[in-house]
Amino acid sequence: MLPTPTDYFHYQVTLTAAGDVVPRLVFEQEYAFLMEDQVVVTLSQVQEMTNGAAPDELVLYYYDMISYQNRVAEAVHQLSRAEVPAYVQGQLAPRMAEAFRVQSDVWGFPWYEEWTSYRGGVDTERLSVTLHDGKTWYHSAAPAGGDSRISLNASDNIGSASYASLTERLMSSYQHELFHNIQRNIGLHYSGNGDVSGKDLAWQFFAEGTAVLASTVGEFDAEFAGGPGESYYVLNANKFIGGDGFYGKLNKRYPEMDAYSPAVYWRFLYERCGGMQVVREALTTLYSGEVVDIQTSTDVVANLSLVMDRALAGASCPFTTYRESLNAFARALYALHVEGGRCVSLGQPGLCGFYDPNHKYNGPTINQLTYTGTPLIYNVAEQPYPAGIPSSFGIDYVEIELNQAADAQALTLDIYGIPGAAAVFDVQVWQLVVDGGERLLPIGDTVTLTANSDGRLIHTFPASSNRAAQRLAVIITRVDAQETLDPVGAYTLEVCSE
Amino acid sequence: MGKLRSAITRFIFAVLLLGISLLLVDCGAEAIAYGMVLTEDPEAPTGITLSAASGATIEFRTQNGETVDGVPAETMQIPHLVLHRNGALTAAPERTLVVKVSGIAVPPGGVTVTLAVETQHGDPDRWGTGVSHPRVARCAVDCGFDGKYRWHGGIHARVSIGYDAGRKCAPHAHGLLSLSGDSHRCR
Repeated sequence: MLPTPTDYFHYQVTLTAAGDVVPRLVFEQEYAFLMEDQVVVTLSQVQEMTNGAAPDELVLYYYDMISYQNRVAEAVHQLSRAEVPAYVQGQLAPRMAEAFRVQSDVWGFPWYEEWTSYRGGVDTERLSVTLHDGKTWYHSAAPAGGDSRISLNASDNIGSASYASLTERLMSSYQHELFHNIQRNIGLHYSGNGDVSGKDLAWQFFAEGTAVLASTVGEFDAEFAGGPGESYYVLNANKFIGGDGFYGKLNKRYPEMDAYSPAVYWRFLYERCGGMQVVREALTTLYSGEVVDIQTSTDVVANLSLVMDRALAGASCPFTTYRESLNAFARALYALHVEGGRCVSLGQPGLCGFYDPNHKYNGPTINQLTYTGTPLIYNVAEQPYPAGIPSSFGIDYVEIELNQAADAQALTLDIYGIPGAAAVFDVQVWQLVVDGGERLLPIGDTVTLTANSDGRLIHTFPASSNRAAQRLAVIITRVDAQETLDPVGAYTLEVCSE
Repeated sequence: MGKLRSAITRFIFAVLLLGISLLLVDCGAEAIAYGMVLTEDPEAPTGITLSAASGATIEFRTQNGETVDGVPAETMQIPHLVLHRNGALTAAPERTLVVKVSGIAVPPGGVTVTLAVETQHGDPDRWGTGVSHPRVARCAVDCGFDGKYRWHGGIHARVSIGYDAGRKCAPHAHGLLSLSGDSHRCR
């Protein structure tokens, strides 16, 4: 038995007089009416600041004449129409309801009475999800991926991102869009404004970055699955990190950067700070308007460290300022290159940076130099385009191969910018052993260079330590917010023997 | 006698439609109409209205709400039916479509009203991707003599309007919903 289709419908009504063959009158209309199916789930009682503030119901709206499918590599897996109702009710709805509980209670985001959905009518105060084909208006505009109303594309992958199953893909999007509701909840409560991305979408670093993070926390296995393809998060993280000669967005100005790739920074904070508290602090600080009014300001760069300093001070992180977090982040990205640099458990202490059990992250592109015993100077003339670090909070990586001439020498590393320029740099150096020509084994932890009275970052490695090290990894982070004053960020790196 | 029968016919038809029209919400969507005008009364022009028996409507925007080639999207309120909720058939008014045809002067021999509905999307089971495939799924619907068209889960109860003088419409067939491309003609 074929199930009755649910869809938008076209109709034709004809009126034919008795004895006639040709109708005397015909009426017809495209998209004349909608017939759909619904699943309604009662949501768990979760944290709410006032009684009744949290949504009580989850409603899924769907119709079955669209494809419910997922592409993995060249294969397309599609549900038959007959499978769709049981799938939505038996698989999707329970997982979505549970995700709501986890985001609210486990992650610690209580609901405020000011929250409202973007939908109207009966949906105003309840959580609703539509499943659409990405092309046809359905309860609202059908976006290519997801939308914070919450509207999810059941028919197509999200760009080139890949998930093992339809459920994983939809749940990833759902976690993301649900988290936008969490953000709106905070924004409406603290500032009366639910526009979580602020003026000209300038604050998407926070809104989209943390929403992408939400997918990785809620659907870790989906986002970090082994096998071919990259999830939406991994795809964007690797766009940021670069690798294989591509410099990614490490030196892209934040106002020009897409909103999703910096999610890797939020993922780093989540892992290093032991959970979502740091995100809650950041969003609360941002949306409270106490540091910056995001409805009138678009200056993310100037305010980023101010917001994050306050957020980090209220969280449980191994760093207390944005500058410190940025340096730790830069180090964690470099650690993707070294042996043991990828954590095998969440929050693993030691040298590793990111939890990456299936090696999904690229390592960033490194500029390679060789020290042959004579002074080495690496300045803007030698640096790849764009030379220097032109953007605030940008990162450069340089590796210096130490040939045998360095063995018996104490080496001094000297890094400096242009006197009087606005750019300020922090530098960390990691001594490495190269094992088998490929594996990089760190010797201890990074050394952080300190500035002398001239502002030059200088460190001398004694000859004894250089006998063990075969390579120096230099991690240079621009930590000022003055990229408009100094859009070059020129620096020079010198290596010489004592 | 012919004139009298025509008058009675028109009366019965009008009464039925009047009863239905009480349930109607004007959805504002414009149907294309072509053919002969079947009204004798210029004050009551021929027209058609669809509505959900529940009165529910939902906004629909053409072109997914986008302006395409300079043509802005159209916004309309259309009838909103719900067939199943949590896997169970909804209450009848939620899945009942009410069709009102007005301004009809029924010819002496009667008139056959045929309703055919088609899904806007093609059958994804047959065409796989749901993208750019032809719209093939047609479902004839049950057309109660009172002009209400109701779907039943899985079963397509095809109840036709056989409208002519003195004969009440009655169900004449029940069968599976066809997705084969057949359209059902009420007779």
